[in-house]
Amino acid sequence: MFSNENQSGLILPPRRAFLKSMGLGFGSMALATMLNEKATAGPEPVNPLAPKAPHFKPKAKAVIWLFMTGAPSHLDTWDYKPELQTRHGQALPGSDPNTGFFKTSGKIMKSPFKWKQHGQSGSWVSSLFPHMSQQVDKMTFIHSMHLRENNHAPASIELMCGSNVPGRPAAGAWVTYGLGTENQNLPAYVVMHGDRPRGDNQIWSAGFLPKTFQALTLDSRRKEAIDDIHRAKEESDAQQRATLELLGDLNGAHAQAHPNQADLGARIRSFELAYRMQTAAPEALDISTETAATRTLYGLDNKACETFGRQCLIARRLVERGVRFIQIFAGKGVAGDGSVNDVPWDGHDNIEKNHISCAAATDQPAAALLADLESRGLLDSTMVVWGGEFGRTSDSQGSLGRDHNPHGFTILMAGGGMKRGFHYGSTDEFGYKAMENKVHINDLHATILHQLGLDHEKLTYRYSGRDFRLTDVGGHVIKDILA
Amino acid sequence: MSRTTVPQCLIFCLFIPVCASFAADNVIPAEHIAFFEQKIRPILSEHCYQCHSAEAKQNKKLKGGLYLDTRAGVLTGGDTGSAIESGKPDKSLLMTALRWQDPDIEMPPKKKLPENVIADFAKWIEMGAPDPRAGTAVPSKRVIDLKQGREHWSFKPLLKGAPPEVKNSAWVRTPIDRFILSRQENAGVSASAPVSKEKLIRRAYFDLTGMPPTPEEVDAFVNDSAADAYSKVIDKLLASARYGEHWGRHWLDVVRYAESGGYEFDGYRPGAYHYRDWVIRAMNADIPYDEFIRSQVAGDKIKPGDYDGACATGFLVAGPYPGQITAKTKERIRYDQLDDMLSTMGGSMLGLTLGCVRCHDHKFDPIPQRDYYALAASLANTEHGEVKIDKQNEESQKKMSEHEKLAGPLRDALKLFETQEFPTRFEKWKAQSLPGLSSAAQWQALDPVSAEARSAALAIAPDGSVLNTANKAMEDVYTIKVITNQKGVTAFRIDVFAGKEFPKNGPGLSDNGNFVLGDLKIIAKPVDTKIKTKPAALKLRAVKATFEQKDYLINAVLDNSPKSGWGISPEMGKDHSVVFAIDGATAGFEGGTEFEFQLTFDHFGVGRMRLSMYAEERNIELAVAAAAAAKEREKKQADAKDGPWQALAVVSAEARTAKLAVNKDGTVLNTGNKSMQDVYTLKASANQKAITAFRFDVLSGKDFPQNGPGLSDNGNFVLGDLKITAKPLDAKSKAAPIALKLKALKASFEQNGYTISNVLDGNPKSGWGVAPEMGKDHFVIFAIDGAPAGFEGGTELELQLTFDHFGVGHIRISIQEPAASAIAGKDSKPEAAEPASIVIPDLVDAVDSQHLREIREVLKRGAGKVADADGPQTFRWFTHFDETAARTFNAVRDHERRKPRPELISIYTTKGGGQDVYLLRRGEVDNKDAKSTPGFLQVLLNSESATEPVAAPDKSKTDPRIALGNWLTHVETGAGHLLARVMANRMWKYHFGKGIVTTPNDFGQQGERPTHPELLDYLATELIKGGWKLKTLHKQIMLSAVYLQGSDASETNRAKDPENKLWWQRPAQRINAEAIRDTLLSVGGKLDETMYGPAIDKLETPRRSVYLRVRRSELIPFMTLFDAPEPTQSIGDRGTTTLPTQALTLMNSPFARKMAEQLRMRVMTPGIKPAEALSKAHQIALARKPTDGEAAKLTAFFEKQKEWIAKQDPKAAAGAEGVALTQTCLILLCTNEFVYVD
Repeated sequence: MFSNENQSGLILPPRRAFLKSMGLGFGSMALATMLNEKATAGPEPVNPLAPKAPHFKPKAKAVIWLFMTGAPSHLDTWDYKPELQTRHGQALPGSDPNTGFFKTSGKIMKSPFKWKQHGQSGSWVSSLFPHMSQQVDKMTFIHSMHLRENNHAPASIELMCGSNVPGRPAAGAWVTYGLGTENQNLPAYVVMHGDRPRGDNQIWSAGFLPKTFQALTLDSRRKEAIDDIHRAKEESDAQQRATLELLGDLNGAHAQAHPNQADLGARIRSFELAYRMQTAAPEALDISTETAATRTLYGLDNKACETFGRQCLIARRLVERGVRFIQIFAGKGVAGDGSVNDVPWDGHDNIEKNHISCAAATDQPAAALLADLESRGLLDSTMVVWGGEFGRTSDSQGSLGRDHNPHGFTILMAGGGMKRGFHYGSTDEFGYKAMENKVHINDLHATILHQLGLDHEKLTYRYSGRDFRLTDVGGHVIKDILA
Repeated sequence: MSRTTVPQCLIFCLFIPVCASFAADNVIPAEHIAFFEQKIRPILSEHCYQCHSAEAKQNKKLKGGLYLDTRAGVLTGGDTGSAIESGKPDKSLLMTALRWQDPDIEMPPKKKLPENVIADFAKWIEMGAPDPRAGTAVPSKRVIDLKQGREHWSFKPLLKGAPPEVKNSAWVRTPIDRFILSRQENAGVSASAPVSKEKLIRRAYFDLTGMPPTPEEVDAFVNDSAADAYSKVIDKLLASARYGEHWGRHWLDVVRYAESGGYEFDGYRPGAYHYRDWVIRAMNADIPYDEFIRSQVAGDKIKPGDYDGACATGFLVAGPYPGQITAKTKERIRYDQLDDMLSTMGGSMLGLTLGCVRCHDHKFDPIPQRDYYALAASLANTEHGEVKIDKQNEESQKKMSEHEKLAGPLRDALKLFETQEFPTRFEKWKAQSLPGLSSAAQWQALDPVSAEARSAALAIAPDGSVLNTANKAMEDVYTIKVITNQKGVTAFRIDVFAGKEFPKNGPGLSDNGNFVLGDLKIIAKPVDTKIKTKPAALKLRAVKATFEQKDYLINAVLDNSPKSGWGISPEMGKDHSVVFAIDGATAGFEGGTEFEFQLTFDHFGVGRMRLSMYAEERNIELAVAAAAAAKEREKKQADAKDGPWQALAVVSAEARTAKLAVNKDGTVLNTGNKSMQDVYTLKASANQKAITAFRFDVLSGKDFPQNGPGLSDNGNFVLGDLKITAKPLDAKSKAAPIALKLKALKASFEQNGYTISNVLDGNPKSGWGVAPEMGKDHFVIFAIDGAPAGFEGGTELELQLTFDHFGVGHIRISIQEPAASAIAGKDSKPEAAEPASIVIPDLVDAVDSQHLREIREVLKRGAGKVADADGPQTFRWFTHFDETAARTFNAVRDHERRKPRPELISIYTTKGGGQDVYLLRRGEVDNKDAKSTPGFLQVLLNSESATEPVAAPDKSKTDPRIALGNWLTHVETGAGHLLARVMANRMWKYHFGKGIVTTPNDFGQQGERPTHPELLDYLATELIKGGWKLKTLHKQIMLSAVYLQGSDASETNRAKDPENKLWWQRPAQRINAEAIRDTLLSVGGKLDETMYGPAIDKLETPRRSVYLRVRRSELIPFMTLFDAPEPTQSIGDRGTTTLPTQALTLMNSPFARKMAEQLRMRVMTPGIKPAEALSKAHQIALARKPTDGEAAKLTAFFEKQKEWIAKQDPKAAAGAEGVALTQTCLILLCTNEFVYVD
């Protein structure tokens, strides 16, 4: 872990004088706490990212959301429906061919996979997940998820922002707004992706919240993960430090001439933070120091899941370093089945081929993440969420595929104070619609915020004449799934 | 039930028994009470009270304003209306909720109640919802009181008070200052000292233009001691084009401007930037703000066809809009779209939050839901879309009318000639010249009667060719009409011509001279209106082209996808031709035919083209093929091993399941979809008239299983059946088709049990196979059992091959004629002699005009005379044979060709469309109330009695959007006073960093109150008085003493008014993202001041940031990093963040470092001392000379860096000075002072 006190290495005498003049004593406090201080005359806290007290004692410190881009079929993964097997090809009662984006056949389609019960909980898992099935006793399964939108981008926006209206902040931005950043050297909200998912940065937008709370995105296709994180090649550390020293000096004088403008002080510190981020961020992303056993655990030696494995491992490293909200958009699978890279799980044509390839790309790393967090004692304080933007239809699209279905799907949660090996809610006998204990996305968000110590009704932001919430005008904490 | 038609007494009688039981409150039958107590109350108590009761209200858990703990509460209902309709469970909202029929109100939310319980509730409501519970603890639904609503400060008329008296009148420079100073004096705070001239000019530059002054401009101002020096600077800046770019960008925030749709695919809108350009132009031209508003709401209606008008309403459609819409989501998305327009209008123009009124009356402001829908109805006929507009519409109109004026005399002359001279001249010509004329050419060029295109301007040349004279477009459709009197039309030819006037000499209009003909439709319709045949598109087949581009083959023209089509790359720069034949019967109606050609071009059209037709009753495709076959015949004979076989060129090949393709050599290839059972139907033509035998070669190949020739897994096949039909090629022939009787002769190999005789046994299951001899070529020969086959004029052969156990991959068909010697004695025509009747029109064949043949047809029809009805067309044809007629006729046509063709521009703006707007209960499209009529917000109608939205303040029958614009801007009767307040506040905000109202987009109850209401109203009044000119108001504000203040902060002031609500200083402002980038570019000396046009997408392109692309899903990271907003809703205040990532960008990004490098190169002139260079850089970057202390520090830093660089790498020592200087320049760009302007 980082120790904030010793990272700076910057001693800037003129600035010290300046800070004194602002009522701040440099020697008496660590940098991180210094950032929390209010300026003497400013009405706002200097640093909106300073850690903030939650509404009540939290169970979880961090969230890792494994976003299964393109929407896996709940019926072929976690929601076992024997009726589909026995009544394959028959008419699906209550089928609405307009449920999804295309038209469905109205005929029941069985799952092409073999199903088995796993763990002490006896949870049914399809043969797609040889690794995740070993972790079922750590998970809470919500089988009764539902939302409104039936196409990828709007549904992804709804899933992450609580409403289908674009321009609302995503959950990660809300959490950062509510809790600030624990590690000032790193952003609190990190998004990892390969091919940009359908809907793009509307899914992880800070919306109307200040940009301070926006996500840092790490593109797995790029060599340098963070823009401008490295000092120019030709410049030495000593040179850069001298630069910062003079800059601090000049800025200090300027700030002194503007005694009631706290933002000027914040800007001085932002350069020091930037300097430290140059070391801290690459260190957090550098997995070369991980043991061979860990690398193997995450499947880094397996081409099929190497990318997602690296992302999951980085997620763990970020959590260790105090990052609060991490979201990974699972990228493309290995085998072509007609699905598109920006929505890999989108098995319209052939669910079997598609899901085999997508599972191969994600199963081992996701399972490794759970096991690894557990073995490091981090699972209790880290909530892992696994799921897509909706489920898929119980009737077939064409003969082998399934269309979108927002009326019922499964999301898994593990850690962060959730029950273990627990199943909540259910869909009807065909898995077509959520029936019992329906969970709307607002409910899920309310629950996640609750575990982070936030009351979803109190976490509001005034914008355009209204106090907005992540949970819009709905949401109930699902107490039944809390340990 | 109709209240008006049923007699009163009947109603009375009918209702008595029912009403009686409930007439008095307490008389409820005991069993009903029991039912309620047993079945209903426990459920309500257990499942509903938690959120719907007085207790819930106390616990702040009340949801939807609904109380279910009293009878009154149930009947009154919550925010969305009554919970029950007594006696009608199916119409009761409560039942909808319990039944989970509406995903938004599924109650109880966690788990549906058991079906029997739900049934109890239905029964209860049917009973009339007996309910003994008392209590009235239901606050009645909030009723909007408009009279009281008008008392809210921002809805009131503007205050007219005179500026207050002040003590320290020496400080006062403008009336604005009196409002400020008066309050300051009362509070005991004092204004800060004026800012220095050096700082003032930098402030003025950034405030008005978003750019820094140059050192020269700073010097000139500082040294200008004239009293009006500052005033002159303001005038100069307001007149600068940079002003519109900077203030236009402010407005673009307010109107959520972007160039893409957002959502699923974030469709880019190439024509969206015209709105951005219009805003910049409007700002620079200082068009009055009320006109600015009216134009954006209804510019397209105020000035139809006007470029500016169309650009301005880009405002309405700048919002997000999904690219993928399904039938299910269409209507909801339409209301979303209206909501986006309304919410933006509310926030940007009126400072009102209208979005929430979509679902219910405004919770805080006096805006009922029906007002929202009245506004929405004003936009009912408004949709998103691309519109083509003539930029110089007025000028073009003028030119057009001048052109039209000149056309009159020419047309008159033509008419005169046609009626007076033509008949006699024609008769003479008919007698003297016509008999000697002939038209031998196969192709007849068509003389179009009209040629129009969706985008392009087309004209018809005297030779009948069609020219594109302007407005070429990527996608276009040419519609060309021709008429003919001839029948038996079988084929059409399109010639496209190269020409010097086209890009790379054409013939296409894309930059490289290519084009893509994506689709071709030819619609035939009888000229004679008495014929009742419906116009129908001819079924076509592609025959031949002079050249086909790879992947752009002529077949793709007919695949119904306009995206795929025929192209000619790389053979541009020369003429090309393509022939399409009618597939099936020939075309042509008795009495004449009109052909309408629709040519859809996908990647640019052609510059000049000509249409021709072929009107011989013969299958042109087969004829063309036969010619080709004949040419190859001799060559092919050599291939045949068994007698003189002649390979047939197959023309078409289709199979029940397989995909077949015809190779260039006339053989047939299976390219996909093989199946166990299949039937191949092959067509070919032959000129031979004595065919005696057929040979089928099945060819092996690497692409087939086990090298084939069959397609079963082991390479075998079974030919189960064979049928061959022969029919005459010449449609005029009366001979009947013949099914040939065959006998099996021989095969290269016969599989055990699969001999060739099986093929002819009538059983498709038995047949010929070749196992185990797979992997090599095979053949089989069948002879005609009987007379040789072949018709005069050519033969069309149809060969049907039925396969049972997989077909073959590659097949060649040959025929045999008896050698001349073998049939000696019979008709022994030498083989080489072509039957004379076969005439093959080829692409290179000569083209004649259609005129002569048309005249002949007309005369034939009229038995040697021209019928009256045929007069006009005959004249047209005749002009080709009479010089004087031609001159008169072409004078009109040529004039038409010179018609002014305006350059049309694609603009993303408003289009007609949409449909009626209904008031939606709870904002749900499935829950429609009455149709809404256009109207306005009643609270902003200056009338005590106005309770209904009225049509328009001017009461005229104007377009609803024009009326809306009038209402928005009308100060006395409409919303004009609020409009002026909101804008005056925005201007104050951009000049001072925050507004007099700190919520610039919310002037309602929830918004902040103005710190200085009288001042705000004074500014609003001045804005209106000054003719709504923003520039005038800018100057008034900038000349005020309050604006001139520095950023001092005395202890007293800070203690008494820490938030500077009394404006005792003007704090330094962080410049916005655009200004940061523009300043970096300008300091680097690289800013390109080109204005307007399509968006740029690269951060490094040295244009001003207002021209950067705004794509919703891919905003430019540098811009968002420095707080450029998400353009999804109106943004009144961007906010300013300070982030370490901003520091990283300025310290490390190649862009910032490059600007530092360029700054260094600007100042490092030969021989200059480093200290002097640094001083110059300081002046460029920060608009002032460094102090001695600063200069010393910068120089010391520079020296140290130089030393380090030299030490690290002695080789770099020579350049160390430059690198160190760049490094020092970079510091200047990173300073707070660089991005904060005093």
